[in-house]
Amino acid sequence: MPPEVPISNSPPLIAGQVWTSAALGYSFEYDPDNFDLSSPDDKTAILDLNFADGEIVVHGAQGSVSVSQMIEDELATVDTFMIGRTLDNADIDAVLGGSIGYLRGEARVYSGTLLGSNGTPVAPGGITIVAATDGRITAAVIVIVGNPDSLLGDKAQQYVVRQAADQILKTFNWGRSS
Amino acid sequence: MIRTRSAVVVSLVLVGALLTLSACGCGCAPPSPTAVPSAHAALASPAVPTGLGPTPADQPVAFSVSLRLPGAADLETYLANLSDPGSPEYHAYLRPEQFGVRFGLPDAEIDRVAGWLEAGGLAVTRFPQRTSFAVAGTAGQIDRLLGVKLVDRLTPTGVRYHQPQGTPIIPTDLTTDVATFIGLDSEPALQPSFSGISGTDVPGNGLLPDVVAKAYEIQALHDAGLNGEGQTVALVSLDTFTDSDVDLFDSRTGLSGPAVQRVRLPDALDKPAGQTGEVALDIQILRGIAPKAQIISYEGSTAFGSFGPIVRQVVADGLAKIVSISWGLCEKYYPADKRAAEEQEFAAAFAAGLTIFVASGDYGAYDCRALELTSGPRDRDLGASARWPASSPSVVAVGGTYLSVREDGSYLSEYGWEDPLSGGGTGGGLSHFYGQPAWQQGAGVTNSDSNGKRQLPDVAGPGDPASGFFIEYTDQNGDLVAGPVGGTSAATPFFAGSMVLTQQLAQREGIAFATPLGPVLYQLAAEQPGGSVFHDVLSGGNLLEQAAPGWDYATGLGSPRVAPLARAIVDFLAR
Repeated sequence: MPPEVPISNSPPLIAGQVWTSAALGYSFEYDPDNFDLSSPDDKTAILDLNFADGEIVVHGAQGSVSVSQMIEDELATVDTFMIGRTLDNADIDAVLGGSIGYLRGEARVYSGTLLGSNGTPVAPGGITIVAATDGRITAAVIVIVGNPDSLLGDKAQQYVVRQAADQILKTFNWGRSS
Repeated sequence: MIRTRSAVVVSLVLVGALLTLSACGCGCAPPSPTAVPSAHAALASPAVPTGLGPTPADQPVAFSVSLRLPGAADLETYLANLSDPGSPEYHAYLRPEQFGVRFGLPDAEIDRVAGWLEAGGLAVTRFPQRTSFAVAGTAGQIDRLLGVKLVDRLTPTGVRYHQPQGTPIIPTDLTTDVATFIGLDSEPALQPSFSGISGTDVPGNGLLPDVVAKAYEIQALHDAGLNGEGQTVALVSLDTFTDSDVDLFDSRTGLSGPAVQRVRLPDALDKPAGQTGEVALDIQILRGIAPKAQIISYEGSTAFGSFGPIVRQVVADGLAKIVSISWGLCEKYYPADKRAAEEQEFAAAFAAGLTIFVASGDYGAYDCRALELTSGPRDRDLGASARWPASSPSVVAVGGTYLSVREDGSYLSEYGWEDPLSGGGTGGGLSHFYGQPAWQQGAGVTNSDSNGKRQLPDVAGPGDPASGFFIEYTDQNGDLVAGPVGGTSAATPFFAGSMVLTQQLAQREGIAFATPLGPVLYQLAAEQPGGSVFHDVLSGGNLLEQAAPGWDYATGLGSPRVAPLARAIVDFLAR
């Protein structure tokens, strides 16, 4: 057989679009065919799915913010556009092994009613929050789903949107210190 | 910081989503037949089978009678001795007839059981390993002989099956010979480990044979003329495939090889069902790695216990030393008698020197979560559970990874496959039922969770659909579906195909290749310098345990560096 192939110096293949937080250095890949990305500040990216009723928010903070505090901070924002928010304890919706960029974190799932921009209730909503830290950065990924139990094909919308969010989680790069 | 959602998104985007999902072929997900956790609505109104009445008396019915092995205790010792260099039985494999004579019922008992069945008008096929009979007759004959009433039912998806009402009656003097019946209940139960979603860190729409060959160092074997020629690999298929799909694969990839053969067991489906994508995936991955190998698709039913008759046939045929199984089900809910009957067949295969690669499952450490959404308690079982038959101590369990490659297609990194938000991930954990085989040893194997039970997976390969394989196949409706597909059912034929090339290398060098590879892989991992034959995956996990140096519950020993591993295996076998 030919000798062993030497280790390549070729750069990593980036199949998607990379978004990097200018403030914190973390990054992730996304498929621009599936998401419309906006960034209200240099620590936050918002990805609107163009094939399902969902939105994914990726938000970073300094590592001094604990994972639990990060989740509470995000929930305070969630409460500005969701009413009747309650913990979703359905086993079928449970997040097991929640992680961001392969770092284990904490995950919670909620249900409630989403409010429109004029403050009126518009649809049942599902919220999934995952937060984790590498010590330098604490990151949260918030998955917002409208009509979470409605079916897209043979799958619940909540499942489809969370599946899309998984692609963000697994390409999440913690940046300089990781 | 979350912006307030726009209400208009709620209804408008839904329409677009449906359009997207129905038009696969350009980076979107092909419809996955795998049951997934989905809607609350499904839980509220569970689909139930429809009763169709008694099975017509003249309806042909095929089933198996699993036979007790009087030498079961001796068999356990023998299997351990096979991989113990200090034992006189080290590598002393048995032909099926030797297995039958040593561990099975004596001839007189075999004749008595067969005679009872034949007296009832049933046709009995014996097998040299004496693990079970294949039996055929009519529903009326079976009803009369066994004292049951076969009734037909229809699954919510329209698949007809039969079930016995009542418990089969066995003559008192044969109760110590007959272990159980396989196939009297033909309700579809077994699932593929098949997942689809668009790819990310691999080129284009998913892995193609040339990228796989480069990333996992298969190319060196191809360059050396090793392409599977003269080798045979058995594929366990609980559905079927379309021949033209293989032709399409060949024309698209520029590869060619022998026509894929079918061996249809009597209970095989009479037409393609909902899992043709699984069979296509298995075939296309095997063919992409070892194009000149003869693939034999052994086709049976998805009923509990179905693996037993198929593996029995593979062993009896004696054509393949490597077997690939991409199917299974949560171990905890698999009927114990069916599992025991199958384990006998797997043990006979192990004793004959066969290696059976089995997908470890696509729901991480929580395989029971994956079952169909009905009102049954198992759908909501979030307890850790391994997948059967990956948890058999006589097979090699294959987990899945997320692969990233470099721009030139070479290997960059791998993670244990996890999709925490959608519940997907490489299967792994501890068996509830089977002890750890003696050969499962090495760094990382004994850990804080070890309890003496079988640990899985043993090895890993690319399984995350996000770095999935691009395939095209004809679904049960006759439509051509194309897109990237993953799951541990991709990793499994990947590993099996790699070992087909290894078998050819051994044959070329005159080295016998009649050894179950599980013990060999652990031995090599212990002997070789770290990273020389396996990529030791250090990140990711199985939604419960995380990948770690050495063996771990997400990726086992790691993924193969195929050419160096093949060289090491052949050198090992030459000792």
